[in-house]
Amino acid sequence: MVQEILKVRDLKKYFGGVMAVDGASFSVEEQTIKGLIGANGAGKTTLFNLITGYYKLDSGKIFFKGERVEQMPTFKKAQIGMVRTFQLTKALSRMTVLENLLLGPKMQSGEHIRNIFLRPKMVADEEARIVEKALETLEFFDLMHMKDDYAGALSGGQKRLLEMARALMTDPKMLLLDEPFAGVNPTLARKLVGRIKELKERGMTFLIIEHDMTLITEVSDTLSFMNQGRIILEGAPEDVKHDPRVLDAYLGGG
Amino acid sequence: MLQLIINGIVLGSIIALAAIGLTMVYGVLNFANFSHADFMTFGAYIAFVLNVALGLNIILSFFIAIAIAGALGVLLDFLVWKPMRRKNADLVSLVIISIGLSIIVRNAIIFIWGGSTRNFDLPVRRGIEMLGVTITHNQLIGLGTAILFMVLVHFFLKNTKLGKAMRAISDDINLARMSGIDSDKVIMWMWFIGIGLAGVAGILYGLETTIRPNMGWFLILPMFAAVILGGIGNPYGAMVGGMIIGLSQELSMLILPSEYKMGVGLGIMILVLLFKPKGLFGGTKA
Amino acid sequence: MIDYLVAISIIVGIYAIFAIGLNLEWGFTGLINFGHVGFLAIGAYTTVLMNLSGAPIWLSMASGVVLAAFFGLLVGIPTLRLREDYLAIVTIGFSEIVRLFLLNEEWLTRGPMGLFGYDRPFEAMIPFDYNYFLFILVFGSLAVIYLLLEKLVHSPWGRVLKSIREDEDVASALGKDVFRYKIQALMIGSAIAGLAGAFLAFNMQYINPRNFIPMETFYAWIIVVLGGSARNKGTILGAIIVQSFYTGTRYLQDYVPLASHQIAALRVMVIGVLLVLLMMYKPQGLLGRKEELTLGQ
Repeated sequence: MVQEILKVRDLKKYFGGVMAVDGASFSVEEQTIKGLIGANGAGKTTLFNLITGYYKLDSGKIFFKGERVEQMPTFKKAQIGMVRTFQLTKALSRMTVLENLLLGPKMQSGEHIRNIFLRPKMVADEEARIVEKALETLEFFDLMHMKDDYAGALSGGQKRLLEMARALMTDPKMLLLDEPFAGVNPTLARKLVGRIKELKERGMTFLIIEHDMTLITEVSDTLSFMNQGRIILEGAPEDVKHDPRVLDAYLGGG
Repeated sequence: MLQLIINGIVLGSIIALAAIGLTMVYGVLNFANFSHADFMTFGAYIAFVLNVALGLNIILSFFIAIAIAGALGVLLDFLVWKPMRRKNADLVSLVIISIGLSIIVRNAIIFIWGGSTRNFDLPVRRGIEMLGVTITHNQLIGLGTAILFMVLVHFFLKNTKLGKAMRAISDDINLARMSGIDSDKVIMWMWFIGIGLAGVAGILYGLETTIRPNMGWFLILPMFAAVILGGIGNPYGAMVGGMIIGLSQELSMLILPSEYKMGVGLGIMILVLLFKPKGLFGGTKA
Repeated sequence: MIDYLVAISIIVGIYAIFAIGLNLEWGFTGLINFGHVGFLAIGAYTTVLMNLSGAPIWLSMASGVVLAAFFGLLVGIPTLRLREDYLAIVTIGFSEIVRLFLLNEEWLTRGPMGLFGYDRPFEAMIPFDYNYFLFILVFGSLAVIYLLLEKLVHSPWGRVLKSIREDEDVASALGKDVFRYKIQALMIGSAIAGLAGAFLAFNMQYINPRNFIPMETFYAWIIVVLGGSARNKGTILGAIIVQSFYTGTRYLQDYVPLASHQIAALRVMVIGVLLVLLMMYKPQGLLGRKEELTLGQ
């Protein structure tokens, strides 16, 4: 039986008098990839911010793994497996690329002061495991040669990869990716599409905002189309892509 | 009690006037400018030099001093703030630079004029007494001038092109740029007006009390309290906030020793931060 | 001459301890604490008052440290969930309230008259000049604090602090409880300032509220900024430079035709000018790596 890992009901968010998200409802089934498309200003990133808790919602309900989570702070959502990336990449500039990744794993024993002094062995062993995993991840994302550079020195595309790699280090149940392919070179973007599908097979769920129609159709199981703060169309990627409303939004309105 | 209310209104109007510039800078450039209050002191000293050392008429001294204060604001924008904007400097650097400037201004004043208190050269006139309350002549002048300037600010923001541009930039600087506003020019004027108003407030405060190097510094906390209370970037909020803080400070003397007056602003600010971090009237920045 | 050097070094050590606490808060975590001196004052006065009312000196020192940390918690609660500069505003106010309290609550602190006549650790047992012992005590403590902090900032805990400094949205997206870490950093930094306060009291043998004016906070700032933020070694170097500057300019009066208040004002202005110039042109400090400069632009 198919489980819904994320269920969003009638989310609303106003900024001043402007309705940014106007009653958006949709669900994401476990172990699927959902693409979220829509013109600029349709409310996609705002929706992400509401789901992950960066903005307070004005009304509506959010369920994650069957649990109401509207009031849950962002970091707790991440701890139970809901992790996001950002549209405007956020590399931690004055930390090395490797350090960026090492930050990922949740609930590290070395994040508690008492363990650092009382259980140094446990902390060191865990750190060694994390470093190993981080190096593997860097290898995959073609960032190995830059591991000791400051993250601030990466190119735009590399920062995007770094961010995704860092998010993966948390072992999320569900990843919300905000334009993961923007600025990434086409070869690597294809490789990422493959990796995302592979991770799905291993049990991960994705919600992806993306402007590149070809890539998003290729990677998604279902597509949702957002317009003026609502999800107005959902279905198989090919169907959604050719719907006149979508064509209009992307070609007509720009 | 009534006396305290009157003192509070006078003090509040001075804080309000100075807080307008602070909140505008906070709203537009998005950082807490810790040097703002020291330009009050600067304005007061310039007016003092013109009035006492050069023997100019107080009203003339007043206007020249605020023009010089405003010009200093523009000069610093040119030397410090604009280059930092070009570099996309983070908030933390700007705040630290502002505290550096505050240290420089305050100590330059001590260097030039020494640490002792000064007074304007004004004829002493009897205050008005009624219902057992005294309103001094200087308090009347201070209140009148402060209200006059607040009204001017209101007309400026509502009716002039520059004022409207300033509000637009405060709401959303990128949007304002896209709609063709020359943000650097508007910001330059904002410094002139903001620091000029701080100068006005400084002179009035000097008239009300005495002129001394620390006079502004001790008002920075009430000013921030006024800004946060009124919502950052909201000039009207800052005016109302200033009045509330001024009144609360004076009225606090009914229950607290007067030495702790300064703590009242801090207390109110902490309550606002805890329960209504966007201020009473909403600001442009969260 | 040796005695003089020891006396100067003790001051360097105390300021290094004071500033290294700030470095944890600002350098590693990005917290703008403009009221660091308030915690120094709490440490000094608690140590002295406890001792004067009969508590053993070690217990008094420990109380000063704990109370400073506790006030770090109190100041952090309303501010650390909000934008960075609110902490700056509230801390500077807090430190002034502490000073006003010390100045006005004469029943407790004797106000402007200050406090003296308290014990110093092992004073009765030291057969040689006590300053030599104090020198060892201060630098021993600095060494221990330095090592503990180095261990902490190079741990996963320190990594989280740095991520908060860089961008706290990322830290929370990765499941880190940002508020908790900020509170911890502020409490530890304040505790360290409290310890510096106790040493300050031992060194001066007389404390009064004038020792705790806001400018003291900015000496710590210039020390940290000079040495390069997030570099504990740099902070120690910064303390040496700032103290050398102060010692070096002390006798300026004999050579320059300026009044003493003018020289004092000039020395403080230098600190302000340095702070502005460093933040504008060399934010990575003297020891900071050059490549950091171009980041994030």
